[in-house]
Amino acid sequence: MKRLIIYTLSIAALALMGCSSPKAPKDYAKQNTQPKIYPDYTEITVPSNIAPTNFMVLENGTEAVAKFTYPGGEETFGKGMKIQVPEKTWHKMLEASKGKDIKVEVFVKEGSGWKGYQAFNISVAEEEIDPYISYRLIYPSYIAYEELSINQRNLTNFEEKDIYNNMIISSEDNGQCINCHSYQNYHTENMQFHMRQGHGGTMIVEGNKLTKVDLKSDSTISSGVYPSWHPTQKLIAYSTNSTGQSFHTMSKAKIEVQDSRSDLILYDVEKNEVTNISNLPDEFEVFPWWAPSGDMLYFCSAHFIFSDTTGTKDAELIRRYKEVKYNIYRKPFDQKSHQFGPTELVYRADSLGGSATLPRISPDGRYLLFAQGEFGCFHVWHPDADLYIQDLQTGESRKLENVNSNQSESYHSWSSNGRWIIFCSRRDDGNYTRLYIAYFDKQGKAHKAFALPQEDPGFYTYFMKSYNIPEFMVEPVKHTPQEFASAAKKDAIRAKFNGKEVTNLTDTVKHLVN
Amino acid sequence: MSKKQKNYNKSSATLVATSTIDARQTQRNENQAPRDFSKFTRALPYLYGAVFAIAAWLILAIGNKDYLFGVQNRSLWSDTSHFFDEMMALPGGFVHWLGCYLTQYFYYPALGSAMLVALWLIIYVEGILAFRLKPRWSVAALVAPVLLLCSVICIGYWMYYIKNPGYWFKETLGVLIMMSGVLAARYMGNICRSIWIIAFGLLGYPIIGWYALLGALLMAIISLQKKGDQRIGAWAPVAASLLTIIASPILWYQHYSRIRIEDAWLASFPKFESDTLTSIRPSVPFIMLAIYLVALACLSLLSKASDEGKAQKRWIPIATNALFLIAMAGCVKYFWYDNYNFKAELRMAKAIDEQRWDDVLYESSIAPGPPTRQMVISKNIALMRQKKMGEAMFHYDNRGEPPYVFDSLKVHLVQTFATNMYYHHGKTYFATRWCIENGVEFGFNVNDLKVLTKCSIIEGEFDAAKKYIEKLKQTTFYKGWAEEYERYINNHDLIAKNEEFSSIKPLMGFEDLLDSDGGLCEMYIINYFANSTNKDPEFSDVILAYTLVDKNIQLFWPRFFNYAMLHKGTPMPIHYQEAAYLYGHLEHEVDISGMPFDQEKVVQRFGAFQQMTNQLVAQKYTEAQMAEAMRAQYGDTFWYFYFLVRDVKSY
Repeated sequence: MKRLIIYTLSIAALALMGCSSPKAPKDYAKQNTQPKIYPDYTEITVPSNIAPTNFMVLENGTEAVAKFTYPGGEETFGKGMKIQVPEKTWHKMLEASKGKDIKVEVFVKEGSGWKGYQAFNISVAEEEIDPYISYRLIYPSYIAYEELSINQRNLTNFEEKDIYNNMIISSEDNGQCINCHSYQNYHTENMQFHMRQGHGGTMIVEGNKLTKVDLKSDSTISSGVYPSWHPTQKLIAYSTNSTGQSFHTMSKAKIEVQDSRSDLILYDVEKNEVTNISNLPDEFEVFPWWAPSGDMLYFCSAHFIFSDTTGTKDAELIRRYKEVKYNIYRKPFDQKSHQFGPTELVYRADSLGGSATLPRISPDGRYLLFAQGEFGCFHVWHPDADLYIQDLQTGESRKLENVNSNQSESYHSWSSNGRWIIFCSRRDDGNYTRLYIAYFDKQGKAHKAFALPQEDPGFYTYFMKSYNIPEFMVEPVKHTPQEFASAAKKDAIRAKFNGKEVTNLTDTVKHLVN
Repeated sequence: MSKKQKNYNKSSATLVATSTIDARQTQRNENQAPRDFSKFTRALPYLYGAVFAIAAWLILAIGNKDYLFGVQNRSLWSDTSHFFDEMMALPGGFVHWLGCYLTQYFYYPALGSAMLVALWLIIYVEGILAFRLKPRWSVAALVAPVLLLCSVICIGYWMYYIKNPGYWFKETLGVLIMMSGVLAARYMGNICRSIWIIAFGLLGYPIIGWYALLGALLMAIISLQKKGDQRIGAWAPVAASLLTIIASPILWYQHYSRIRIEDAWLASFPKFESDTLTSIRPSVPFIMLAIYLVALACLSLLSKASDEGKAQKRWIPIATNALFLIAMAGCVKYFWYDNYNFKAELRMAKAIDEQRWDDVLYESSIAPGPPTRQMVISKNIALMRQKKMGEAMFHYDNRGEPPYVFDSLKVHLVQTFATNMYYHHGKTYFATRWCIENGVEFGFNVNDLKVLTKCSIIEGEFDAAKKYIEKLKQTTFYKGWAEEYERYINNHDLIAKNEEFSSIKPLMGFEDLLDSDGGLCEMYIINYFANSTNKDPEFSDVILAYTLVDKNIQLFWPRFFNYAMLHKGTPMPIHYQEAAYLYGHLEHEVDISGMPFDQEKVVQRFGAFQQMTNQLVAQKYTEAQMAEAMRAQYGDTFWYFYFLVRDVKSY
């Protein structure tokens, strides 16, 4: 009996030891450097509601302990070489540290001794970040695609859910591609995304109503591609594109995606009507984006004249792909008459030897954030692509400090309060895009970007999918994938073009032939 | 019927039945039979089990070892919770996950085979117990394992196209768990069993997918055994089963965002589909399995009634056993995809991976019939590594035929071999592309992660290489390989010292351009090299070799002279001499009179070749007949390849 009690107590003691926080060592060899950690969360500024910035310690050793000192207390964590902070404790620390710093001291056990590294700070901003983001998860694919999903992630914890997954409707002989999710003014009440090939169409959400529409007509290049919801009206500006893809034989860029034609259209959701915005013959207009006030539409356009009369346009474009350079323009928009004014040049990238894409205006309307690389429109694969910013009040443009790397930065987005930007970067390994968040302070200065936190800090080292098009949301999408699938199975409603019912000649001819 | 017998039959409906008890009963029923015969009957389950185990293991471990090694090489398992979550995102996810884990053990085909056979033996025993088969009928329980064996060895080239992670163990695990559920149901009363059926159908769905529904059906059938029981409770298991089969997929559909509602009732059923084809044959073992188990469950009801009251004639079980055995053997023979070239391709791929170039060439030399294009390419890679393309590439059969398939599956090299082929030809970006393309479509696998790692290292993309190494470190048998290649990331100087990297690096001396292979990787490589020019001696050798394959005289001469300039002082390889001598005679654009051709091997032999050709033409031989007649004497020459190896279709 006595032995039984001893065993029971020993087991209980061991269990308690297992549950308790590790202790920071008292004796250790001081190191003159900060520890190498992954993801790099040293000297960053985080929102006061973000999920724990768990990390791995990359120094040589068998065990790591991190001591977090914050106003009003300290906590110690560590298991193996991973530092994972319980959500509840983390949020308690953030709450206490608003506008202040959390000091992080890392200790690593190597052999029988401990090493203590220089502390680093995690600054906690006063401002919160929108609680949700959505993004598409996709293998860094070339042509093939199989499973694609648009996901929503709660930024205050690690919860991630499928908004829609193409496998819910795809079959082997009728696969479906999905892309370009977009919301009206950060709310999910009105949203849209595209489905291509199988059960194709654009899924429009208006409150509880899910409608699949077909925006293609014989007068447009394609159905809608890159979207932008008007901030207050049920209008969506789209580009229409004829897109091709080819492959580098010896370049880290690997893939080149090019448009051989592109225009802009406006879709009136309530009237179910498409009208042209811009379709100049020698211009590739793309990436429309509304100013938060709704009275200006920004977009990119490349001036390109095909000169080869013998080959195909695609072949010529492949040969001259480095000559395609986009500038940023805008058109005034009358919100009553829905008429656009004349085009104005906003940023001339080609004269600087660059190509600017994806204009995004800060919610206060002051800043224009865009991606710039040497050429082309698909900067997500261009290692030289960086984020730039233009102060629309002064007209000054600059490469955004603290956020860029020697790999591609692209697909950026502003939070609804304008204090945070999120973007895709291939900085981790050159191949897989990860989401990075940066604080953008009131002085217009960006702070060091940090990777979207994950529960397992090693997650990015083995996750084989890329993130793209991160969009902030103030609320989650309420419809389920099953509801979207059900709506997707219905025939798409064809949009009118310029007020007239569309007879798609291509489809008619196909029908007759068949 | 004796009192003792009557008592036994009365109680057997409710008591636990085991093979031992059945054996005892058999002994009692057949007390007229000679003693040694009843002993033999009792031993039958063990005998069948042993014979099956040995035969199945031999078929797998000996007859399919190359295929099974290839299978694990084309599969992937990771010891991360993320991998588990990914698998569990689909119905039947648990057996997918466990199947992936166990498939790794085909790294040692004998070990993996033994594990699979052991699981089949458990299913066999479960079948005997669940369907209360008497020893003389125990052969009937072998059908399920035999069909599972067939399912493993029948798929051939579908191994590259299957979208069913862990397939090779997954189905066995599904059946095993299902049979365990059915067996457990045997020991329950109606109410308990009804609850069990609902629980099994609902909770089993994420674990074993459609097998949970089949299990619920089998449980309902065996519940009908209480003949004449008219109580409502007697029908409860049937009602529970129907309810579960209908409701479980509908309920779970609300949870899963990756399955179609129309697939929900056959979730994780092994389907063999491509964008143009749904192949039924590899699914037939599972269809047969489901039908057979249902039939067996039904028969187990009938057999009870028929056994009561009359003794069976002895020849009936003997004849039936024999029929079963013959049918099962026939089934295995029918389903076994035993194609020489298929296995040879896998052996050659393994030898290439291990840089056993002589073994690659040996495989090429012993092929009994025309090789596949993959075998020809493998041979060329081996010769390229040994710098013997110009000397020996036509010493082997270069015809190349499409792989044999039992259905209309379109096998493409881009799925079976492009990644390795591009890597060894220095087109590492295209190798990377196809690793990703195939990974996206069919799931990432060990082979392609290894290629991705090597490509990333040789391209200097060390962060990407780290990622693939991390993935390989999460496997059971490739940690060592991953750690070996991690050294190159930590110490870049080692790259130059690596023999494989050193031989590939010179082939990477080309400029970047936008290009695509259009899915025809072999043609792309031939055209690419034949149309290239390069001042590197090794590169120029490969260029000239592929110019010969391309049979392009205009491209040949400048590349021939380039080669000669870059290899001054070394003898001109015999095939290049053959080509120059032939082209010099065919088109008199280049004066070859001063060239020092090998008199015996080229000049005299070409004369003899011409003479024989003229004779056969005079005898009105067709081209195919000429090819056959001249192969023995001239099949090792470029001339033979040029004139008589035609219409080679890459795929």
